[in-house]
Amino acid sequence: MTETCPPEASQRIPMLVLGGWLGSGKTTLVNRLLAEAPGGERIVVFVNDIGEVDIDAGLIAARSGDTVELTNGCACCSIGDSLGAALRDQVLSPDPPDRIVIEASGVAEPDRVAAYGDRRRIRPDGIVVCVDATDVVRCAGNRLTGRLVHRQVAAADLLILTKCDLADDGGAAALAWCQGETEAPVVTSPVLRSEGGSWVDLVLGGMERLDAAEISHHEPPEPLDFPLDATLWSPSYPVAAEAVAAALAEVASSEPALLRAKGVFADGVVHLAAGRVTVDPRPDGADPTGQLVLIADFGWDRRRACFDLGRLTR
Amino acid sequence: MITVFTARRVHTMDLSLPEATAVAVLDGRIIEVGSLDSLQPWLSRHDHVVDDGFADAVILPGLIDPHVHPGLIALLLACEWVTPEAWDLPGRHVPATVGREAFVARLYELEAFHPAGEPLVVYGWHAQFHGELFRDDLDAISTDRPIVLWQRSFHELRCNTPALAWLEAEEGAEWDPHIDLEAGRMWESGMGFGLRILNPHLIGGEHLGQRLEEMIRMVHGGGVTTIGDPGYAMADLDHYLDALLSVHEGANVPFRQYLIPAIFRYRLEFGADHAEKLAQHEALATDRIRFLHAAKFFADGAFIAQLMQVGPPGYIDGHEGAWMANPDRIADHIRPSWEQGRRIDIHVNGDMGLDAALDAIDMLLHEIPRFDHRTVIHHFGLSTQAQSRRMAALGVSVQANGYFLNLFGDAFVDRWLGAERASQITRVGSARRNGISVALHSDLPMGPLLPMKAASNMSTRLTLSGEILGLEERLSPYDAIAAVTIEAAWQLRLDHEIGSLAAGKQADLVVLDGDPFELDPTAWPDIPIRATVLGGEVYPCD
Ligand SMILES: [Zn+2]
Repeated sequence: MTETCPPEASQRIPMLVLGGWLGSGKTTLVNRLLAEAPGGERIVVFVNDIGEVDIDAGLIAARSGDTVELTNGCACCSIGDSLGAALRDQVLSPDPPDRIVIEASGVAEPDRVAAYGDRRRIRPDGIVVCVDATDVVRCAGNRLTGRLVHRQVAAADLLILTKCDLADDGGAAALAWCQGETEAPVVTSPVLRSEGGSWVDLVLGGMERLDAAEISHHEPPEPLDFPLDATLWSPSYPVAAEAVAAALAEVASSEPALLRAKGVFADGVVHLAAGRVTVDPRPDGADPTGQLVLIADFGWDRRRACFDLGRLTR
Repeated sequence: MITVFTARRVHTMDLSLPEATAVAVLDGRIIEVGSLDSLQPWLSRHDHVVDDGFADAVILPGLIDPHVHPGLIALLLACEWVTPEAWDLPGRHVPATVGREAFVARLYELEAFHPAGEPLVVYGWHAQFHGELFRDDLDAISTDRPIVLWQRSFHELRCNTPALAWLEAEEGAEWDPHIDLEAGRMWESGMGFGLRILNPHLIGGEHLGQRLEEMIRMVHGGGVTTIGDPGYAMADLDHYLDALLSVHEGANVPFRQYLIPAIFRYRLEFGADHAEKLAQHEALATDRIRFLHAAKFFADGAFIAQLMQVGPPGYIDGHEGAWMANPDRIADHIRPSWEQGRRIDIHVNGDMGLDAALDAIDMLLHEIPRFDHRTVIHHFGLSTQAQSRRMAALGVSVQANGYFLNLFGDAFVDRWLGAERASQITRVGSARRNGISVALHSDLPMGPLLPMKAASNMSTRLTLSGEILGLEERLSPYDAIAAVTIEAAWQLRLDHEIGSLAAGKQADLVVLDGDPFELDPTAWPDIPIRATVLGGEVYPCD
């Protein structure tokens, strides 16, 4: 990205573009940025949404902070909002943000998104792309998804390899693939847990910090000795947390491969861990998604599990 | 009181009793299709009148266009039109304009007669037909009045200098990379920037209702008694439905309208409340305007703009199409609607888009098997025989755009795909051979709301240049008419009510001054439409 207006550079608002596949951990990362940004800094997030179902919805905290939802403008049947106009409105408002983050849609090319914004008022702050360690090699080889994945990765100034602890090799194969595709530094991360995460500083540090020399490549975490698979059960009807818990207990008892599950419902949060199903009160601010994320060994019968959950709760 | 409509011939579009000469109607429904003789058991016992006003004409079931966008055409009706193909718009005929010289001459003419001081917004320019036109070219026509050309495929505006000022393009160019001031171009999101000013100018306030009112005559003029609108409203669903319900409801409206929600529009506009909001909207149904228990989804980009996802060997110039949803996750988008038993409509243009859509339906059918799900692929730009057979196996049907091949086939041969694949655009013939239901639509304003023209296009496979593209993919005359009557009804899950003529069904008819089954399909677009009948009420065409 070329800088065109250096004089008042310090007054320009940094704009970070966050790209990557749906389910790659973008939304989780945004929530971490909002939660852990240096005190008092106001971040406005533009979500360039195309109405995608977020498969991670059950695993992430409620979205907080200022968000501006945008629609994708390229459709015969919908003429969408203008990202340029939305950026202008925020930046020229009486109370402009300290930092802008654009969460690009899963099918966007993040470098094209990064081209928006008046450079006299906005300072490009890099493109961060999230990559799912459990899925990226498959996506890259798939004839439908491959080209887009390659272009997203090639556009990155910093790659974050997420869900390494869910990959059977701790993310080693995905890391090797990424390093073969891009010169950009790659940091690896477990499922973007809330503890730890020095890369939050890295992401917010901006372009000048994205010097490969400064980044200590995180070693992939210890590989787990089994591969994992995640799926989402989303009933189309309202269902009580207790009913989900009862059904989940029954499904877990007949499907030993099912390891973990979590879902936020209106009247409680359902967990499955270590073979035990529990229901906790729903924390304030955690929007009920009414969905259950299920994590299990590969090769489990997820259709059967989803079918049984439906059968037992209807 | 029974009304009997007599005709030279009635084509019922039900092969069980294909032809008749009289249709008897009571309280809006057909009580018998037959002849004055066969009707005697009814007529000898009940009061009746014989309406022989159509005795020299031909009656077919009222035509159905299952994919029409009143909201978009309302926007465009507020513009002047200069299009590569002819259009009959309410109160004006738009002749076909091809060639740069003819297009520019028409612009001069429009400019000269346009009210002083008002911006001139012209829809229909397309470089393929009209050559390139930039800011300087438009400034040559006027440097006082804003002149905006709106591209035929909706993805771009071309502006003169006053228009750039009017649409605040100079400021926009600072924020949006898709604005080129020198060339006068505003495209994709850059066009979105201009639309913030253009849209309210065209359909702000009362204008939307006025334009929707005009649109009633377009539907009627096409001989259409039922339209479907998948993904209604471009923005502000409440405002749109307000206007629609007040304008398209009532005895003066000669057609039924079925709305199919695009779930992503609801998610975007109403967030967590989207399901509740949809239920509220569905409760607004009236006599003429109903909501189908269906939902619309998207796979890949637009056909006309060459944004469909084309598999190997790709586009000739090497450019790539766009995805409108993650091709890996389409099943996740659809799943909640599938579980609710909604019928699924998927916008698909390219063969790769079709793979993504079929993978999703395949997965959902394994998760939650459904009989008679009637999933429909809309537009159906490019596909293969292997995909057609897979669709048959999955129970997925085809609703093809009836105009892609006619309007754009030549360009897809010469520039984008080459002859072999261009001949496979909307390959409806093999779909029928594979036993798949085939219906046709206009996607108005993508194509004109003239089902007899769409049926003709798919029965002849003629392009604008007069070439026949993919002869073996033509529809038989019967299948072509079925595609705008009973097959369209079946795909909307309304075939028990409309789409053919039989006792018990709605008395929705179209009255033609010629018999399409006696005429060559090339002549179908010229058959005068004398009237339509909706629920037994006659609506004469002028
Ligand atoms: Zn459409």
